[in-house]
Amino acid sequence: MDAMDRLKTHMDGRLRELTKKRSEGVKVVGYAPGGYMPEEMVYAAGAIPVCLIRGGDHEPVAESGAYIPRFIDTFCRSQIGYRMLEDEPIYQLVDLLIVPITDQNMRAVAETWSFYTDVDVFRHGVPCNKEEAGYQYYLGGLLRLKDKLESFTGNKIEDGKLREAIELWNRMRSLFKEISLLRKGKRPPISGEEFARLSHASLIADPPVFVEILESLLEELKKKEGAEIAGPRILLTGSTLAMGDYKVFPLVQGAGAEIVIEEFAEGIREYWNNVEPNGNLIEAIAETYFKKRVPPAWFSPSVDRIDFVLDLAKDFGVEGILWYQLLYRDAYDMQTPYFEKMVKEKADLRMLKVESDYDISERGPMKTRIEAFIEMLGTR
Amino acid sequence: MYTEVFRLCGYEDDEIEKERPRIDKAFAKLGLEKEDMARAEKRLQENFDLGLQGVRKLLHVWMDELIALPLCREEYKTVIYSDWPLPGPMVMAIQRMSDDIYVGSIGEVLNLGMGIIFDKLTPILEAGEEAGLGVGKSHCALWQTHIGGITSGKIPVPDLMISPNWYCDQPAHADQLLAELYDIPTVYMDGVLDDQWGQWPEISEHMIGYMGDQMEKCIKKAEEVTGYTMTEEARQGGLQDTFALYLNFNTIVEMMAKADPQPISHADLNLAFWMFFTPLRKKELAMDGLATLIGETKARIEKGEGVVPKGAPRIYFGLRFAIDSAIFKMVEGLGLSPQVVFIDWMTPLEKTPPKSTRWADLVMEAFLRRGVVHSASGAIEYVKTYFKEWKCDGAILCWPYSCRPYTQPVMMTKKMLKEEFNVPVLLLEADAYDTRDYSAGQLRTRVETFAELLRMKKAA
Ligand code: SF4
Repeated sequence: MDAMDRLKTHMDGRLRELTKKRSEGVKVVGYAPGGYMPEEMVYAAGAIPVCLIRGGDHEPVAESGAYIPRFIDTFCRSQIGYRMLEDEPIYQLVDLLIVPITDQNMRAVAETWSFYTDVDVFRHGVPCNKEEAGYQYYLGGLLRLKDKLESFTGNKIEDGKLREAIELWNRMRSLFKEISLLRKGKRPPISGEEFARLSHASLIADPPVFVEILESLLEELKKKEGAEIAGPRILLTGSTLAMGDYKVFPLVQGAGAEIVIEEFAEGIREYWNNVEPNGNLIEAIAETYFKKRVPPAWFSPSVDRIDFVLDLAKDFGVEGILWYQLLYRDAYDMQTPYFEKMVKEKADLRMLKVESDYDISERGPMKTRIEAFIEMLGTR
Repeated sequence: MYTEVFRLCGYEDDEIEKERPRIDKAFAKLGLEKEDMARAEKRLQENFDLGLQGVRKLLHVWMDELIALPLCREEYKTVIYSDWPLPGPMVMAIQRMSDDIYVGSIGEVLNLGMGIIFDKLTPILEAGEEAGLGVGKSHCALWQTHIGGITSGKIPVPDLMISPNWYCDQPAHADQLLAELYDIPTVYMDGVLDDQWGQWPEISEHMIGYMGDQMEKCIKKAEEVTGYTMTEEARQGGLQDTFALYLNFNTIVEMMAKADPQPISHADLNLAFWMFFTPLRKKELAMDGLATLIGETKARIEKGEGVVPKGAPRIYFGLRFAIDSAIFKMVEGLGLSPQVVFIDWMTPLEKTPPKSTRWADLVMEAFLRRGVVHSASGAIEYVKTYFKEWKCDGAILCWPYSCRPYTQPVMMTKKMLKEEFNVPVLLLEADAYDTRDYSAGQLRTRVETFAELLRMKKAA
């Protein structure tokens, strides 16, 4: 069985496995995506980290309207809707929800779950700048998170266990990086959509099993030669790429192009930097998760993000940028005017912004605009 | 062309003459013309009780601010812009560092001046949309105005922007856009609201301390840009400016909450509310205006006079409109008495003196002590306390189209009111800063039905 098949089998049985573990007393700790909640700490506390990363469906968005006004980001509204609809089982398994407060949209998820559900919700803040004071604040939040996890699970987060977890996640990040870099070539062995699905699976799968599968997958991919990309190479960016929200991939492919690299604040695992598994481990985690991480658009200032995207575009031979905007994610929407100007001025790159509220009616206009954009890139 | 407008705003004729060159210049920059004056006169007469001298004085203060803003570049050495949710005492303390410095909460000044008085805010809002805070994306209209004022060229480019990023994150995104496109020096006052559910009224020290440090960072930047030093006197003065205004305002709020009939309109009181976030050049006149209004309110209560019939259903009304006083007139005209509006009233817990000793921490603690600012659970507790204290007949809760922080607890509050107080609640979608985001006619229809329901319930 090849690695992807093994992954599918594992993911198919994951819900059953989580339910069983939970019935045996293991805590399931849900968390909001965004890369600011170190899964290593949950794992070291003997609990199971599960990211709330589903998206792309209209029903949860509509359902959320009964609980919160509609001017919240589409993905964040979905996280309220999935829980309230009660038809996405993983959302019902959560014993504790951890929400790093990054912006008002994410804060709305925490507030709504607190009021309407009986799930314990823990918030820890993510300052929006990388000054020393911001780092110290984030570090303080991790220490409070550590206390919370210990009291909630009844298990101490000991250095030995935390180091093991860090090493496991470091391996996962390194493997992702290696796989991602394989896409620099003319014949990427893995498509943009496959990579996104892999990233999403990593947020829910059993980490040791997933790392093992990833090891095999890397070996397989090294030997594989994908089809040559005939059309433009595209960088996909935005605030959130949710599990299930894959609609742009076939549209891009159908227009003759391929997404070769992506940059998202939420939904694509951060894999560029590892955590130093020595010294003060919580500080080492904060260093990687906060300081080294590329700032999302809700940081102020956040122009480093633009330089990071430009570097990616250069490294991966990108010819156009597709900006996938979710409705009401204001920080990203407000960054587009100067982002577009800078990528044009600094790298002569063109950008297309498409917007979604997880509504099927968007597909037609989105298709037309993506086709026109790719055609325009092809004629440059 | 504008003499009558200024008279209605409490100016004496000789003052108008003296100010004429400045007014001409300011109005030319703002694009205010002859036909705008007739509209302003009508709006002033319809929306305000100009028989109250206190109201005229408050209008005077806003008119002064509207004239000073477009001229600030020529009249002051350094120009600094800010806006809500930047803590009032901080901007007022910076203003007090020297008379050479202009500090303006530009969105508020434009809202009250170009919005409430002249109803000519739309071109400014459109300029903000054009600059990047696009239409239909629920971008904060206060910040569309803030940005649009600058990009439309109606007000000058500042030397420094102090951008708030603690209660809500939209201002910092908007200022960053402006900073990148127009190369304006900007300092961000960061903050994080990560206290746990139900924790209010306890406020974590880490939150207070971080935001206090950020405030000090902004003050330092203002010192660098202006060349002046922040003194203890200026700090205390900044605190005094905010709290003295607030205490007078609160006196009227409490008088109104107890009185039946409601003595003055919330449209009039609205003029005072927005002053807490705005460094004013004529602070003394604002204080005098409020003191006069206290006396006038008291006199009406003693005479049993009011703006709604005695015994009218009393409601909690959940929003202040910075650009539209007619909404309050409409609600009162339909026979409802908004006993308290928005967060005007301070609960006893909110009045607890802060424990912090450092100036910046003390300011932040006082802000975070407000339930609505602290968290959704704090906001719900605020309304709960209010209903226990004032026992009103129902509530109109509003969610502003463009405000993510304030909208979060609105539906939760409705659920709580239904379950714990069994009172009718009307939910309205509106906007505090942009009249284009709602239809006054539709709001009227819904409030009309609601008023009828409350009257029937009261009579039963
Ligand atoms: S979004 Fe809301 S809280 Fe933020 S500045 Fe606008 S109106 Fe104020």
